Amino acid sequence: MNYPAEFNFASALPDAPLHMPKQQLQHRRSLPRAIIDTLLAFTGR
Amino acid sequence: MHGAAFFRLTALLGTIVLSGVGSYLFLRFSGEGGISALDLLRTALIAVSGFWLVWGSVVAILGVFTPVATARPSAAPLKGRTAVLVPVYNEDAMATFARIAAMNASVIAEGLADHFHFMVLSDSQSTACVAQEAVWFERLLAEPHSAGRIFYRRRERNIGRKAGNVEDFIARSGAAYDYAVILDADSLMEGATMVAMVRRMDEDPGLGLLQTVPYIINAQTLFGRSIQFAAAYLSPTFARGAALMQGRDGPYWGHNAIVRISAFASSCGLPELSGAPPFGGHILSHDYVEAALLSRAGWKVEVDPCLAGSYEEGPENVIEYAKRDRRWCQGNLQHARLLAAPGLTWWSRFTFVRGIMAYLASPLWLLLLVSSIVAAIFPDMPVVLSGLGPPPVPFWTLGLAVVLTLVLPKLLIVARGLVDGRNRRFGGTPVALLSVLGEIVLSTVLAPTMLLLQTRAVCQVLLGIDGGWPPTRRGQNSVSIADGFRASWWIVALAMLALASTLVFAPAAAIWLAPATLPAMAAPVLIAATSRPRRRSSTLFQTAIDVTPASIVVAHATILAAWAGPMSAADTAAAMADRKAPRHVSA
Repeated sequence: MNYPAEFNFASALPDAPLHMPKQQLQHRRSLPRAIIDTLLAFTGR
Repeated sequence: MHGAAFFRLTALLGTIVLSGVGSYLFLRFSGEGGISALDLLRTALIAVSGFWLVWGSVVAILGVFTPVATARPSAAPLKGRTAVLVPVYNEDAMATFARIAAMNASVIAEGLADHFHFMVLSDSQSTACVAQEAVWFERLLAEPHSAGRIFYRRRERNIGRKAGNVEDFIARSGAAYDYAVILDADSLMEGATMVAMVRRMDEDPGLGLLQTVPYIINAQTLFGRSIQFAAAYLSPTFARGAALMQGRDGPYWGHNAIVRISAFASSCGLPELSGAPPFGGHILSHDYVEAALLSRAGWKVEVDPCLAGSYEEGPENVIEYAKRDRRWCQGNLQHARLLAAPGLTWWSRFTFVRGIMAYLASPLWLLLLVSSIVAAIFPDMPVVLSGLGPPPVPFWTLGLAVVLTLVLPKLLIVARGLVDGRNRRFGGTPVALLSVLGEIVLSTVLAPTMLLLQTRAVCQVLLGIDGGWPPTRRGQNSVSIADGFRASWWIVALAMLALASTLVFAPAAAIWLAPATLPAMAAPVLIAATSRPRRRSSTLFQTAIDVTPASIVVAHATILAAWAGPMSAADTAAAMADRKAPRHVSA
């Protein structure tokens, strides 16, 4: 079998992007938790 | 959907009744003179573990009495374009790419090559494997009608493992295709099967995923051939029973299935779970979650046991099986984080529970054994409840019921095979019965070893020891007794401790414990002995494929033989030593 000096992949994947958004699998944080975290952010923590 | 609900309810009620009766009888036997706390614990363990044992048997019995659906032949022109995805991770590139060549040739023979492209999605990290992939991909492109239809991409960082690999493809190229047939590196699928799957997707716009029931092929050892036989002879019946209950919420096993790309893209983007592995991080057993997400989004997920021509390879010895089981254990236990995920159907949640209990059952059975030893050593425990009087049936009936639960479905499958002639494909009824009895004996003898290996896997996961994805060593066969001992010395030690303690403190208990302790003490020998190659012509575990090999399997073997000589892979790798790296490498 002969191999060319330049090994050239001519077979890249087709360029056809499709968005695949991340799904929600965990419950969002509760409102009290969100408020506390927001306040903590102002304290530098 | 109403049919599925009926069968789900029937299976559930039947399981509750049978396991409930069994647990009640156990309580009557063990608490005849008064019920201790230990009796209550043992009864609870029997109830929980027995439920899942009975559930499997009920599903199988439903499958025995379900007619085999006839294949729906169709010559309708294909509407969709399909990408056949082959994710690889440090695999044997020659064997994997030879499979792709065989499947491509099979699709071309159907006259529908233009509708199918093949994608090698490499996550390989080993430089040697990557070099081999370059060599053998070039060889693959030299096969007829390959150029412009077979593509290669390697990720330098395998973020998200296989799920991330497929997601990367969809993000880059998903819009160019309607469907994706998702395979493993060791998968084989007839072209006709792929075409049939695409037609099903074309005809049913609500179908999001169609899963085949792959047969195991190329098994060479006693252990591997027993699994191969079980997959070919027993699994289709179990799958038929499960298919009765699937409704719109069927299973996905991660490979040998076709998905609707638009549905998969919009519904199955997997997030990282909060926290560290093993319960946080990337989702390991992504397939069950993707099926649940498709169902959540309203897509149908179906398994079709009638779709033939779908194959995979299996582990050839107990050690490789245990390694695979370790990562499945972690993946399934991780699903505990998703039981309360928003919007999932109740059947999806039940499927997660089933997967979790498939692994938690082992430590529960072990706990039952240990508590029974304790009960035998300390028979005069304090009574917490008064006894319920003499049991209504002799004790041996409970033992018989357990045996029947395990054995009856398999014997019914043999009986059905006698009636519908299926046994002929497995060497005739006497040979099929011999193989089933052999499978029962082998699984019984290996059960204590498997139970302890699974229990260890569960403990490792619960203790937060991340097992990750150790690569499967495909084709790994023989295990020496020394290696078997290295893998199972602790099993031998535990069994000797259990046997010794019962012999000293409760000799009568040692007898009924012997079916567990003696095989466990022989674990190194069993692991080694079952890893020895068997002759293909051996009668035991004969399958239809042994008699008449599938055309795709023959094609793969032929191509592999042609590629393997006159120039070996090592020689080609040496010839490639000073080449540039492939250009299609993404970060």
